[in-house]
Amino acid sequence: MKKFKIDRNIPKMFKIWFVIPFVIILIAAAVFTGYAVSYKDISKGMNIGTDFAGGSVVNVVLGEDELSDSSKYNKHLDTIKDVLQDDEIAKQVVEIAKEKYDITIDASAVKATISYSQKSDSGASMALVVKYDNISKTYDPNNELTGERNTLIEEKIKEIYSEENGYKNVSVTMSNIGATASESLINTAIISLAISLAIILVYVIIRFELWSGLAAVIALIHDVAIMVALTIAFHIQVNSSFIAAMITIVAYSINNTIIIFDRVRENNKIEKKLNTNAIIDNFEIADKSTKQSMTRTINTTVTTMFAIVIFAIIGTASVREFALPVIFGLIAGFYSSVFISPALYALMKNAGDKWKRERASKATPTFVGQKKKKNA
Amino acid sequence: MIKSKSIVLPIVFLAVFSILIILGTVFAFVSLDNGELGVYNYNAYPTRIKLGLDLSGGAYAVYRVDRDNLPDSMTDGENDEQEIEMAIEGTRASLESLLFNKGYTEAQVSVYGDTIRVEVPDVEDPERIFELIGRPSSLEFKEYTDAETVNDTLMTGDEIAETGVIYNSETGYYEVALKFTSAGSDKFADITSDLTGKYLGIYINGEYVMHATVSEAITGGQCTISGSYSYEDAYDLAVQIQAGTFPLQLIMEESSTLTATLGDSAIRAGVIAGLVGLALIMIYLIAIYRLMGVAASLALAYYTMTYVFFLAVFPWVQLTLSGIAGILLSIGMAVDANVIIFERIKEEYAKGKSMRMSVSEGFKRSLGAIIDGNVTTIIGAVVLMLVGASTIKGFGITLLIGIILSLITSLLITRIVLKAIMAFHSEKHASMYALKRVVEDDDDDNVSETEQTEVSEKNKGGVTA
Repeated sequence: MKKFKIDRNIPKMFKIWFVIPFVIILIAAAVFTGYAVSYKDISKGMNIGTDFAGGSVVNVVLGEDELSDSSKYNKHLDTIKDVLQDDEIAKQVVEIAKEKYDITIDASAVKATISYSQKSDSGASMALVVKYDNISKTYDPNNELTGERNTLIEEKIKEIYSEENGYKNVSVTMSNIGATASESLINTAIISLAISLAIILVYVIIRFELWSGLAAVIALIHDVAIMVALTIAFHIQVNSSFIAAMITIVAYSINNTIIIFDRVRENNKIEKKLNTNAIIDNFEIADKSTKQSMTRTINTTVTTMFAIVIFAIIGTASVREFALPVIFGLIAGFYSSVFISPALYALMKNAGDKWKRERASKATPTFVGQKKKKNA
Repeated sequence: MIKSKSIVLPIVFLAVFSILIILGTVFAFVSLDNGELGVYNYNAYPTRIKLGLDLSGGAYAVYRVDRDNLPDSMTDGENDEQEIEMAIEGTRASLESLLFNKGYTEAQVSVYGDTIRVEVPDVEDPERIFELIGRPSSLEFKEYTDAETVNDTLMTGDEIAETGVIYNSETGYYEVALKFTSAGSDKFADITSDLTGKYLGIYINGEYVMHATVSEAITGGQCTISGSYSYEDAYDLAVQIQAGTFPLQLIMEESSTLTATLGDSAIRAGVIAGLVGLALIMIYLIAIYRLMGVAASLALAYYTMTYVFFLAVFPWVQLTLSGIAGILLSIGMAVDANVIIFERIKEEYAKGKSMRMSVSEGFKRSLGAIIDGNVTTIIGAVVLMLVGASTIKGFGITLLIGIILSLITSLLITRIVLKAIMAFHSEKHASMYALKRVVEDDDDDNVSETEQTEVSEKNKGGVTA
């Protein structure tokens, strides 16, 4: 097994380490703006799923014979997909928007995308259920335009599944459904994240020290921020399971940081025993601790990655949509525990120590005339 | 040299442990039909894990708010629509908590205008609970004097936070347990203190159900309704009473079944990813830590089995896509503690300690870090369980089970297995445990190396300055 021989002091290179997350966030912001501008709609900057935004549902009763077989099922699903993306319908909706509601909207913003499909009921009344997104609230706050569009979609589907085309008794119904991830769900998720962070902060401060606690929590916020940023940058759909993914990452990522700070705690003890008077170089301690735990940090990140990466590779598109943010979070967690939190710790602790020394020197008049060292 | 006596116990232990893991693996994949091998129907235990809507489908119901039966405050012409809107949101929240309490942790409730759509995974006969929600019951507490007299209502069921079913072993019947809100608890305490020595009667939908002597003021915020209920009756009543506390009455418009949105392919991908991931982790561990890796691999197999088993057994667990990913991550994280311990053991050995001393020192010295790291994760899981809404709550439970099991496996199981394996070897076999006396590079205690780094760092600084 190879050891990690890096001569440079990792935390001291903090300027580089701190810039990279900001670059990622900037890229995400650029992608966000790009999508928002191209759709002329700020809410389209992020790919938000129907879990959060609500949507429309079309129910087509085709019976078990047409739906049990997966190739037939997919054929029907494609038919509906085509209707939802139909240029003619989009054009009509754009006209209605202009004439009836005085709204200027792009045809691309009118076309619906499917969030999922499933089967409902059984036997002859088995139906194909397709859930798709509504027209953005920015244009259509009361879902009036969505209603107009859905009527057109319903007519078109009915036309396709009419008796002239050889179908019998195919009933098509449309309905609206609200967001399943309610505001209260999102709120409680954010509240519980905030409470967890606060308790973790207190715990780390008690078990370690103030600077470790602050650095650990900032690192966690970094992980979540990078996870969201990369999800935006790759325009991956965000739905309610994304919240679960975020929580998982916070819960696991803190581990990495704690292990390094455990070394810092130990090395500080050793250092204090060895030289009681000297000023402790926090960058040196942070660097030493990071390198001592490096093998472990890498090994754990690798073992955690194995299964989830395979899951993302062999899974379907929706599986990938969920697994990718988790992988982003794991990478962000590794990055922050090696490059961000030790550096933050050293920076803050140095500043804290300096402040303490200055206060002490002010208290003792003999040192007043002494010049401060410029070296950090 | 190794004494023959000292290896008997380790041999027995390792044999039993291996058989346990093999059996656990076999029973995880094999199902037996009635009659085969003379046992009852046995389904592989992982198949008993309850699945969420996205993986197994379920049933849905659509309710419409009963506009003809609105409370007075919503028909008095003052901010009616706003009040109704708030009441719908309140009903939705009550509905979510009712479904969670009754075991539908992964239920989804969405509101659109006047309609509330409920989707629940296919567990415990969802159609029945849909029916019950549409037939709410009103509960009233009145003083009871005799069978004929009906006294004034002292309190209604609106102040009930939660209902449940409990078994009374004395009577052999089931009872409905009521838990009041904090305001309700105070009110109930007042009523019972007023009625001390008299009878308190419970009326459901205006009909007398039971009465009991009030011996003292009841301040605990709880009471039970005892009748000669079967479990089903008590359950139905509990659901109906809780539905009766909703701000609005609901009428069921339609209900039907739904198939999974992700389904088998996601589960299959999860199982394959889990197995391949597990194999890769084991290979990786053994490649790096040799026999220590073998001990960790055995412990990991044990962890995965028990975790899956507990997920199948615990009633609150309904596995969704995020749950699968959570399990996959937890397998990787479960070896984390072992990696920390093994790194410490290697350090201790490098310092010159004996193999066995290094092992016990390694376990001892990494305990602090492992406890601290896991406590922070447990904090997260517990907060999710206490604060989070339905789905998040279930997720917290899954997370917590995983952490506790992984702590047990890494601190206890690995240690016992490692010691048992080590019983076969002496100091000269250290290389089989990836243990070396010399640290190859800048890894900790090598003081001269650290000094050198410091010097070179300063030199560099000098040149650029």
